[in-house]
Amino acid sequence: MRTLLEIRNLSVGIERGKDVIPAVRNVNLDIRSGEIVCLVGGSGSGKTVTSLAVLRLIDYEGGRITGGEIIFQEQDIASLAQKEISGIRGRKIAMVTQDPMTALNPVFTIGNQFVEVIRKHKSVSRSEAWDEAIKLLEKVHIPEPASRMKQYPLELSGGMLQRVAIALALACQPELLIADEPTTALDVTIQAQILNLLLELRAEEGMSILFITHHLAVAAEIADKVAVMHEGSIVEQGTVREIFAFPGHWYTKTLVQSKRDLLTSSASEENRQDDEVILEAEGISKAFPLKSKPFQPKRYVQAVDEVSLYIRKGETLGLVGESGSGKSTLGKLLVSLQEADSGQILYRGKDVTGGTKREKKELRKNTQVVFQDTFSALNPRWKVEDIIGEPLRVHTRLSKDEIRERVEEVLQLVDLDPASRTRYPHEFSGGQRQRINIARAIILHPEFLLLDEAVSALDLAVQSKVIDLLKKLQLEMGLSYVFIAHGLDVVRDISHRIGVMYLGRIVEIAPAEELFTRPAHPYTKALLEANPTIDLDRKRERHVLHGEIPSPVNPPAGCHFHTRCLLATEKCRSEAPAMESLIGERAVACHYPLEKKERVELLR
Amino acid sequence: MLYVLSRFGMAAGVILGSVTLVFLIVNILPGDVATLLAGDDVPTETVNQLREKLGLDRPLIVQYLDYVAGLFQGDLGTSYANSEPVLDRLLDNLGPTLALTISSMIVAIVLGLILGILSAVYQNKLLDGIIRVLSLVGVSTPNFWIGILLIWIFSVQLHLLPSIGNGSFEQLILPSIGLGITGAGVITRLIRNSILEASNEPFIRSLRGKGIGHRAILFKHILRHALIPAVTMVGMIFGEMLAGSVVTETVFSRQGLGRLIVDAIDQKDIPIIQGAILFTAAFYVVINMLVDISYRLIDPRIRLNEK
Repeated sequence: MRTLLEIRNLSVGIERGKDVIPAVRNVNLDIRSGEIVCLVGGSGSGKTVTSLAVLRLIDYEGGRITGGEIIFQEQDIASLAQKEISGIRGRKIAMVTQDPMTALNPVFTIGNQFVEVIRKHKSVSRSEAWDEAIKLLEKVHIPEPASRMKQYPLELSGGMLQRVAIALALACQPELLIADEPTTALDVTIQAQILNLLLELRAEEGMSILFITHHLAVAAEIADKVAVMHEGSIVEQGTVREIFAFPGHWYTKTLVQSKRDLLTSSASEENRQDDEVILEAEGISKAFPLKSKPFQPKRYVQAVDEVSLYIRKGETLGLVGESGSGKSTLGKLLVSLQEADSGQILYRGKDVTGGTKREKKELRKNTQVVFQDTFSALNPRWKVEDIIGEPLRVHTRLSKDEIRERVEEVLQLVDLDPASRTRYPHEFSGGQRQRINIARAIILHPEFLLLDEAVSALDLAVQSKVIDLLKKLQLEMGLSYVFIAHGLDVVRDISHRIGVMYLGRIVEIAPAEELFTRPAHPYTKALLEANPTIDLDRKRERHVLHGEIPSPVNPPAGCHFHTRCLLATEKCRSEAPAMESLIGERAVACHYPLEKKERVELLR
Repeated sequence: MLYVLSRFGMAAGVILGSVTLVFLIVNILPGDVATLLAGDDVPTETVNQLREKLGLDRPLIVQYLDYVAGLFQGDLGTSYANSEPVLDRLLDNLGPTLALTISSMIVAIVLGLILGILSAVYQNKLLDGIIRVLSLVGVSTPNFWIGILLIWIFSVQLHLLPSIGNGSFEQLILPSIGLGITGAGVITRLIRNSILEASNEPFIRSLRGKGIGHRAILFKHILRHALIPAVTMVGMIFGEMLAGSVVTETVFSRQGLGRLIVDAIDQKDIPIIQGAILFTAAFYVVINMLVDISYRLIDPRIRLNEK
């Protein structure tokens, strides 16, 4: 294979006023034709800057190449003028970015955006370009491509849009595709579809892919070669096997280790102290009305549909499911941030739905929340001590000195320097900010914490430290958690039990290890198979769940999952399965649970 | 379609509301109309007769309902001053004011767009600095002062353009600039900021990555985004221009609704005041309705979100 792209001693600086801050130092990387190379690293490690330098887009974002060469087809991109590069951009090297929702101009139709790009690079008529675009959409398996062409980006789902963005990048048969975190904003099931699509396109078109990701397992799934970036340099590169089986550099070792640590649940039954049930939900439902036209019946999104569950003292209940499955709404119902339409929520055996204001306040004191976005959850104009101390001012009558004392105590508890209480949120890193959020949540010694994607925005290494902190707090304070996340491995690591949600219903609930090793619901199994893994022997022998989660406005009749289920029968299409207990603490809502069948076969 | 209809309904409500408000304010103002109209040294009896003739002796609510009923028949009453129908007086003065506000709007939009784009393209360069200072001056200088300055420079010193009157195109130039320059300043600043903001949208990076040229990105993609806040602003500027026309028409001795209002207030010619304000309110409402409808053309997201 010939070398397509050669990056030699590349250094890139970002201009800050008069200074140039080095962002990438002496990077060397080769990409051969037809090869998929993954750049892996945490946020701020220089992955994206490197990719922007290859297209020289860095010039537009306040950066400049301070040294080195980028040889592409005997030309040094680093020394070309902007004008000369426009013949390469989009034509020979194309790019797909992270968030498909923002990668397309929202005010133009999909078709118009295709026509613009195609006609920029090829002298064809508008209608020829239109037809070509339809073929491209077919190539990325978009259903009904002709009608999609007339739609605007916001009418398509994230997964569809990422396919559109990939098709758009393919418009001129580029030789190199730069994909910057193309699956990070997507659900695992859709991520698996997109990864498969990229592999398929590589095989068909023979193009090379520079794939940027912070997600080790994704790299393990798709890459031929992996380069690990840390603080602006490539610290190690090699084949997938070399990197994941025998990491050399300490940073790679930490990364691989923190990923491996997630793969077994360390929250085993033994370290849970109590059998006492703290919080219980019985058949709770919540629907949101849609904006409707006059004279038409009101339509609803059934976000949570007759869910029952319980959480014991000191226990973590994980909730997983694709976006739109109702995880977050369920979480909010449990802590009374939203009022359930029907059903009961029992806190320590007492019904708290429709309680008085005082009862609500008491409940809020004992049930706290931590959300995903570490920054917007903290008032940027308040000092840390004011933020963390606020619950005390609301719920207690402590004096200023007492509050300060408690704040310092709790800062220590979340492993932050007590002296940092006088600083402002922006002075902290993402992981530290989440510790501040956690500190605020636990200062009243609550019994229950809702953690809604609380570690999802953090880098892998930081993530595992925050998880460790959460586990430690759970043991010390006897906290119960509901842990919502789309990353399955993290949920496995922290949860005692896990509930799988699909279109507002819990379809399976089981102890973490059992759920991961012997899923009973076909949907659970599909989710697990879609989950990328660094276990190299297991990969690429799975079937990918096809299609997307149906609209919760019009959920399929019978078992909601039947439209995507390979085992669905007539019964599944007409009759919704009830939650049935299996052995132990397991329950599943499926007419043909995998667990049972396998069990029956074993018995014969 | 339903949307447009409901907008019309709201517009009618706003106009009726402003009619009512003006009716109340004018009638609460101190000073007896009949006394004022009859003049000094007139016997009380004559004043009373006049009051009866004008229907001012009736209860306020009857006067109000009578007035509103008249509106629906296209009858805005008769002027106290010269007994002409109010509608005729208004229509006579409408043309010049429309010509003034529309040409001022053109000045504001054209100047604002060009300077705003230049300012954003040459961000933090010398040209940007000059434009930003100029637009600040434009925004913060009162209309009448700019008008007086323009007359002094172009009429008195340079003898290039006429300073007063209406009728010819030349006579429209100075007042339009005088009235439009504030709007131009506002639009310049707005366009500059929205262009710079839109340039940071992630899809702009994707477009560059696809090899789309600089100009196409600026004029086709960025500008369309930048126009959305600017269009809102145009609706508001139009209202300010209608208010500003009162002063500008006085400074440039032009005929128009603004002058008509000023004169009518002097003479306490209530039907004229009410009629003129009704006209102005109607304009303002119509323009803003057009603005609201035009969003939906510029930004499909607004249309789609209602589905």
